[in-house]
Amino acid sequence: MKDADRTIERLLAGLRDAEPSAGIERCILEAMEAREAAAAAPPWRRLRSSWRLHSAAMSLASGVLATGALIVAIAVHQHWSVPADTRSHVITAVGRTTQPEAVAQPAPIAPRRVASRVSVRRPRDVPAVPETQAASFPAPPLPLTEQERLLLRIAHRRDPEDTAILNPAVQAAQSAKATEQFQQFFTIDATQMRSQIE
Amino acid sequence: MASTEGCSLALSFMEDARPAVDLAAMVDAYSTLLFRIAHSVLRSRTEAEDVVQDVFIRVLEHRRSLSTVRDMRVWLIRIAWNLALDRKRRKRPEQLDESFARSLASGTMPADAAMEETQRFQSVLREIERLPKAERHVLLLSAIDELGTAEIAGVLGRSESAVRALLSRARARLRRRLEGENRDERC
Repeated sequence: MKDADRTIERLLAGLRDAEPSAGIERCILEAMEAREAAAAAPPWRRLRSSWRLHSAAMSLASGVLATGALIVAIAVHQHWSVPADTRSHVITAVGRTTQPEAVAQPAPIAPRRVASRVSVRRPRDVPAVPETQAASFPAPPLPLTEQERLLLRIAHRRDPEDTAILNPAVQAAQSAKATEQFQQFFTIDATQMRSQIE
Repeated sequence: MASTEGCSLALSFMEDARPAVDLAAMVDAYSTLLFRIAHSVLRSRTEAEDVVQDVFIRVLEHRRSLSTVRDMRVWLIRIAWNLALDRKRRKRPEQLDESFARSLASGTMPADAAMEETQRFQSVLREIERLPKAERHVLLLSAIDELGTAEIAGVLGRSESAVRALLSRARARLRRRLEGENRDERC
């Protein structure tokens, strides 16, 4: 009973006598001063600090926009500076490869688009216009690449021999030839042996 | 007190014409009391000091309405008390109690006796934490000498008689539990 009471009292006394570190008042006042100074800063100064923060983001965004505009400008420039013939060829080739059924349908290109392009047509584009309106036909097959040819060679290495075996006439001729070679070999061997014995 | 002499002038710009409150004097007057209140909850010196600082930052934020505060002392104690309770929710009590118990026990006594004492303090702190909330709060606040029953009642929003009843129940319960624990240990 007494022991428990004594422990409780000692603990409560420990809580009661707790002392803060020396100089806590100064720390508190300094923290308050700092807080007050931050709050009392003029609005333009606060704006400046926030501008600093945002300036990096703004410059980054403007940089991205400028790059995008440059890319678009280059693309437009390249589009208009490509010779008209090449461009029309590309258009027709694409039409041929992607829409082979367009053979039956002359001038599958949307008329409104062509009309709009014709309306802003430049003198250098004039020779290309009939080509863009010509009937489409399938594009010629592309030549095989080196790798494709290699693959074909690997896949069909013994094709002629295998195919020839399937033909009975060729097969009979081959077996006859093999028999003849066999007999010829042994005949030679027999005559040689006979001559040696003699 | 001497430590804040230089700052009282620096803080003069903080004081509005309307609320004539000397914040530096307030810090001097109340920081130790607020520290003890926070320390009774947190049992950590650094944590309690942080709470005291937070209290005065709150005061600074509400300095325009300080003139409307009826009882400045109870108002400050209540802020410190609530901030300490908030902070304690984020901490594990055992973590803080162990070092506090060790600091209480470590004195002139030998190491083995100090260890026993530390364990006894730890078990008391554990039992305090297990008390019903109202009893625990009254017990911890009553440990601070500077606080009278009326002020404890003001902080906790209870009547003085309720505070007295809660305090007596808390002590009885705590004693009972500790004795039961001691008996179990002996068995």
